[in-house]
Amino acid sequence: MMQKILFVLVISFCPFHHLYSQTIDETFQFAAEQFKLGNYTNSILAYERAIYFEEKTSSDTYMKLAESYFKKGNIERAIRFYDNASFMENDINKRNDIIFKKCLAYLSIKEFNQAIISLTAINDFNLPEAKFKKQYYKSIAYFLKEDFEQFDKIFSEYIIDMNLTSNVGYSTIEIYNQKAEKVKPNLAMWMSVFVPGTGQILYGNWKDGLNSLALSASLVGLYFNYIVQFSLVEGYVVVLPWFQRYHKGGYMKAKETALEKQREYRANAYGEILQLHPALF
Amino acid sequence: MSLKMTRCIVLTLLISVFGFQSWSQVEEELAVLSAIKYDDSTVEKVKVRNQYEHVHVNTNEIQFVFSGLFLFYKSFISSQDAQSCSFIPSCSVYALEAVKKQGVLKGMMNGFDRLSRCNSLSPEKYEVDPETRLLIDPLQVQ
Amino acid sequence: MRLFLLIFTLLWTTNLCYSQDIYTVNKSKEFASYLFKSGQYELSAVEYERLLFMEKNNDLLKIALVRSYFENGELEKAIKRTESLYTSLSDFPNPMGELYLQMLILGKRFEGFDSSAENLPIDKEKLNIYELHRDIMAGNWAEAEVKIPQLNFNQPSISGLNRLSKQVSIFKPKKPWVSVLMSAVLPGSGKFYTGDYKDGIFSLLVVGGTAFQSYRGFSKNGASSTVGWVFAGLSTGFYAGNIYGSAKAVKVYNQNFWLEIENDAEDIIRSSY
Repeated sequence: MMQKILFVLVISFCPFHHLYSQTIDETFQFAAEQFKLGNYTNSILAYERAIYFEEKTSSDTYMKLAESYFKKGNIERAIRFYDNASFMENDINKRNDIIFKKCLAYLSIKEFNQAIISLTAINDFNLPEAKFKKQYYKSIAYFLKEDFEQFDKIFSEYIIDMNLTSNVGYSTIEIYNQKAEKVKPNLAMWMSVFVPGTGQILYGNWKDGLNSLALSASLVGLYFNYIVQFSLVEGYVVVLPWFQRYHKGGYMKAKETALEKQREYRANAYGEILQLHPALF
Repeated sequence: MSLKMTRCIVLTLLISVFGFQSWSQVEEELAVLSAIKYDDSTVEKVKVRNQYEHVHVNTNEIQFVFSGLFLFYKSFISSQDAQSCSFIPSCSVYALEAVKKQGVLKGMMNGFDRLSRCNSLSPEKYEVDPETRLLIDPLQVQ
Repeated sequence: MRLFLLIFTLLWTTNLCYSQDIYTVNKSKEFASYLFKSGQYELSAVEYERLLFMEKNNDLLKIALVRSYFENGELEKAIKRTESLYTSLSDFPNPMGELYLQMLILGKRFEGFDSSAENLPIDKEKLNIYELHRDIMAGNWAEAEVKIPQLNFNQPSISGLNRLSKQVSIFKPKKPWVSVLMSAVLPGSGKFYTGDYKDGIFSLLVVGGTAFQSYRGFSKNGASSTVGWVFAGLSTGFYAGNIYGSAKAVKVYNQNFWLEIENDAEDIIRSSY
């Protein structure tokens, strides 16, 4: 008798009962667990199921589904569910958090304008933290969009509001940005137009500078040699196009070298900007 | 490299000083932000001779000579060019491959034919590579 | 008595759970079909796999599962899974059998098609159409030409395939030796033969230009002229290259014709499924 009772008890605790009778709450638990484990397809399926059967889906669920899609790399769908989540959310702080995530998602797929637009939905009335973060995200979006004028304006406001004017990182950013602005791609180009190679050398690319100088010089030599040996017309037709081609290649490269230098400074500045995230202070 | 390292260390230190609660959240945010490359071209440049692996596989002296010529052309002449070849793979890569696979005579003929087709006059005959916007025309040898 | 009581409570609690359960067969079916209809085939496949585990012999589920894989672009997986769902070909219910044949045709698994087509319970008229599709996908146009007139032109795909078949029957492949000969006589003209006029003119100009420069070099400085030799080499190269290229252009021309026909045929066949 005792044995039979035990058997029934064991059966009732058997896992297949759990499997066959999962409620929405359990589905959420399962989804959360799968999300933690990094099995995003599983967590997506579970959240989609819960949402499908729930009568009224909470903002939290949409948020988690969006996070799963974000992690899985389906950013468009993630943004869609961040939207749903932010519409459903009544708590201002939580809602702001969701919008920041949406903005981050837009930034990650390089939709900078959309990122800036999404930030307008942030409610920062009497909420200094949200205000700082909004300023910070906005300035990052403008920086990545290469609108440095707007970036300077918003970022300096952020720095003043955060009381970071004497921060070392901030002055480094300023220095890098100033250096980037001082780079003159057109100057490099025109230098190389007149003396091949000099524009490249100006921005430290000695290999290409000397290479271009030597190549252009030898083509000029060949050109005159041709004129002397044959005729002006033949020199013009046979050699000059080649000179033109590599001369142009040289001065375009000079411009490109300068632009690369500029991008390098900007990339360094961007690295420093990331270290001034409002949460770090 | 060292700059990146120090930046990483400073970043980690700063983050760890910060409270444990939203630690991972900030870290994740920063990871996403730093994954957005401000500039894709700052990725370290690859030397010409490392760009074309097959150059180093030569089965005889003739192939060795052609590979050498190819490398010289790529590093000192092609690198200075304004307009580049209208195909992918470029004519020089195509010709070198052809010489290696079809032998000197056929390979060079194939290369010369490729050069005279490299005139950008009939883009409708080829498919376009979405990344480089160049016309796709690989070497096809049975 | 106590045992019965226990069993009773057990059953009762399970029933209670069932009432709010979202993993029941019916709810899962509803959810899976929502996933399928909203185009989330990857997820619907997972869901149908789970459902099939619970209802092993449900043909509708089997078809939905295979369709999920198929629509998700996993043709090979879909074929393999179909084969594992039934023990013998005669067990295939009708829509499944047709889906299976369609997948074999699109996947170009002709041996599999030949061995299973006859054994599947599919009506004769439809089977004839699938056999035509098989022949065309295998590039067997001679066979297709014979079969097409016997088929019902109201069926989708038949009139389109008939048009392609006519194109094939009037196509005359170009001959490489003609273009080689033409290019040998007049550089570039071999490419006119295949319709590559711009390439032909370009070749003519390059060969002509380099030959002229070589002539200029030699006539100026005699046999020791560097310019003469350099351009002579280039000219020969371009001349020979053009001959080689003309033969190749013919090959490419013929290949492209077949490639286009094959693509059109596949489009027609695919859209009829």
